[in-house]
Amino acid sequence: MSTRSPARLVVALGVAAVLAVFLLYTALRGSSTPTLTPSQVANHSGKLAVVGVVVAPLRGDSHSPGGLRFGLKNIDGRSSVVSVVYHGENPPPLFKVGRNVVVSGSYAHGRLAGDNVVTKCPSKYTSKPAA
Amino acid sequence: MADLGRAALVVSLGLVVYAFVAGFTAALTNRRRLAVSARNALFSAFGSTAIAATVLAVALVRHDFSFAYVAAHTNRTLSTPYALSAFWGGQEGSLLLWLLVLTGYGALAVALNRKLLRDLTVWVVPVLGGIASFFAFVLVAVASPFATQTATLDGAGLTPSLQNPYMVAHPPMLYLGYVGLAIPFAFAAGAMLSGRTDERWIVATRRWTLAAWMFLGFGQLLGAHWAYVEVGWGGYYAWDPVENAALMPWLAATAFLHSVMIQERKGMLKVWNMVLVALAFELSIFGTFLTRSGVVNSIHSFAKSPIGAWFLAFVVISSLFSLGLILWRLPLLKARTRLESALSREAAFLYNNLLLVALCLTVLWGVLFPIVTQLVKGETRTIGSPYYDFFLRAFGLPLLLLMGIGPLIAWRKTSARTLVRTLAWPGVVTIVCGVALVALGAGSSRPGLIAYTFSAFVLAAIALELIRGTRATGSLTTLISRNRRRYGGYVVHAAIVLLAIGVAGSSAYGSSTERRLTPGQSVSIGGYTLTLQDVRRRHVPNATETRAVLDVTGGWNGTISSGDNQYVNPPEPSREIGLKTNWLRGEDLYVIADSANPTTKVVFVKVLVKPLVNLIWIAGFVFLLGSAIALWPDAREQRRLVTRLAPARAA
Amino acid sequence: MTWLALVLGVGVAAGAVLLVAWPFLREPVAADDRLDALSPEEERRLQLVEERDRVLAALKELEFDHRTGKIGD
Repeated sequence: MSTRSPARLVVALGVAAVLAVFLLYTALRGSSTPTLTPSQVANHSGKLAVVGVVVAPLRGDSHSPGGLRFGLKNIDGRSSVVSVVYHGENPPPLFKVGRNVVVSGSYAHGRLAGDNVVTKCPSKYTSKPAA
Repeated sequence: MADLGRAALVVSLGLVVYAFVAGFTAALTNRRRLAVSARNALFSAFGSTAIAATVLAVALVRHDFSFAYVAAHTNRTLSTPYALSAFWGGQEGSLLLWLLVLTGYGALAVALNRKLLRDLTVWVVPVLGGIASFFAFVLVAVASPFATQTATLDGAGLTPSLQNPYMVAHPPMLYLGYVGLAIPFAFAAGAMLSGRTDERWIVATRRWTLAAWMFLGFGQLLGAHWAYVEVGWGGYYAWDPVENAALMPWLAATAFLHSVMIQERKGMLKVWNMVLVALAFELSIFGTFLTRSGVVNSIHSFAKSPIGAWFLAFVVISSLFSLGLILWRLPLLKARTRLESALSREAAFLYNNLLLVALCLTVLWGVLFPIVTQLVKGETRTIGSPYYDFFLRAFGLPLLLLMGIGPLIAWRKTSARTLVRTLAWPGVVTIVCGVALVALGAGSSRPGLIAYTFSAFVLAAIALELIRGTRATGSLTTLISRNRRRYGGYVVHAAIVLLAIGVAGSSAYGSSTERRLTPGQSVSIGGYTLTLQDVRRRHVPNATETRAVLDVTGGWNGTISSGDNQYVNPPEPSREIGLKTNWLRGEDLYVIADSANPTTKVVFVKVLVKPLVNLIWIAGFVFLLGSAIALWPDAREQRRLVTRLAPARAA
Repeated sequence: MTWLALVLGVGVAAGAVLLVAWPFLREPVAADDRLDALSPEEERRLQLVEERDRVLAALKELEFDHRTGKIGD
């Protein structure tokens, strides 16, 4: 054993290892999804999430082939409405017109094909995670 | 009566500001009477805050809707415990609870240590006063719980999912944890300010840190259980920013609890410990900022509130203050000894610290990512659970392994040969377990298999430690009472192993299926067959309940029902899951009935089988037990403390 | 109710002021108003005691590690 303390070496190697893992992750699957407001969505395509207020009309059924159809607009202020077609499990119980939601899915040709809806709840300590 | 509450808060603000200013002046200019006066101000601040809290509590219980807060968070139908729980159901009330606990904790910690650590507490008082000033200011000027209005006939009520025993206990538990972290922080700052950076501050705050950490950990598990049984999406942790906000300080505090042991034994890692204690404290405040500022998208959507900016300012200022203090006192924080070998107990503690902090920082990065991308690219991007899951495995699994190796390594240094010999038995147990698990089909998930074998290793190592220790001392009770902290720690390790097994089991080996059912149709999963019997609706006071009733055969025979409740006041729905814990098979059958329609009798059913998930909740109790063993007063330790602290008493 | 709140509020404030002023009321003139400080010898003693406790603990550990077979002879 050398007379020098191995502490520094250990720490340096540890930090390097942590960074390496981090870089590895970012390189391999460092895919993040854009989270946008309805007014920002127009120029995008592909996987993304939209945060907005549910606007009427609310039609269809998420279990049917036609899906559940509704619109999303900006939470604050005016914006164009993004139309959403959502398939899958029923949205959380709090989902309704006027609620703030996050819909993720893929966006193409002015339409969001949603596969997950998260309702942001109106009260504190109230969570309704992914339905 | 709101006036009394408001007045009491103003008095509190005056007192804590006085404790801050007079305390600093007294410590700087060496004035004894002024220091005592500042200390008394801190004590009285607790009294006046308690009066303010009583006013709010009475208003809640009496349904006094002239208080805007009471009207916004309760209604007449709420029973007394739930009406009281609205104390922490809203922002202003939570802040008041925070100030109450902070002044209470602070007064108690200062009172208990005022004799033995006289030179230190002189500086601790102004630090606590400063922290409390912030909260008192926000309560008085920004978010008062005592705003009044013309009394309404009834209040808005409490969201149904909060009307639950878990929600009565979970938030205050977290507050006890968050606020408790302020005590070691204040003592650390006091130690640096006074220049007395010996180990007394660590010894004096050890139990405070442990208690805060215990509350924070148990509070999170309560929250997870609430999410599991009440929110009804089939999981218990969603890596949501608000959940992460509680996890981060807990991880930092865990690292701190481990690394202080190295400082006590070796006089090393002094700077590191200061950084960790500050990190844990700052993260507990930062979490509140995150959840209240509306800067991140969380499923817990708190109303965007003006207090966010204040919290951010406080985090920035107090971080700079801590950083400045550490840099200023760097010469006093020099290590007295050095790490002798990379194969030693000390080194194992160091690896553990690096992994815990790395995990904590990756979670922080994940939480901050949307803000960073917004600032850099002008577009918010979020990273989801795959990111967190990856790092939980990348850093959590080595941590688990280390939990088994660490206790078996000797202090100072171990030769590779001795280490191999010590690890032989746990190694054999692990390999046998691993082979058995693969034979049982656990190989379907590699992370799950690794988690299981590592867990077996840790449990074997703990058992080996206990057996050898008992053999060396003669009896198990003697062994544990000689070093409560260590063996309490081992029990906590066992709890973490149970947690790991539960998490791995329910996530890696769980199964789920979804099906549209009409009466008579059935769905099969994991050895259970569920047949829809009927969809019923009935009216009860304040709610309409819709239930799909399913007959279960196979792994368990009986009926299970699931559906939703539509409440009248407040007009909110809530999902009611069907849950059957099959202890014999060690798994939960979890049924979510979606859009159950009593007219068409159609229902969309999602059925999940979650193996070993109950170990997570059992882990919570083992965790409490271990923490209690470590916290238990120890007469011998107390005597040693007094002799060590004695010099500070001499005037 | 307002007058009651007022009285109670004033009471709280007065009590707080009294408690804060107490050290000065009790000792209007203090013989020695300096804070207790550690003398250099006491500080040195504290350091040595800490060192002693640390070495004793390390010895105990060493002995225990030996008895439980974590270190060879």
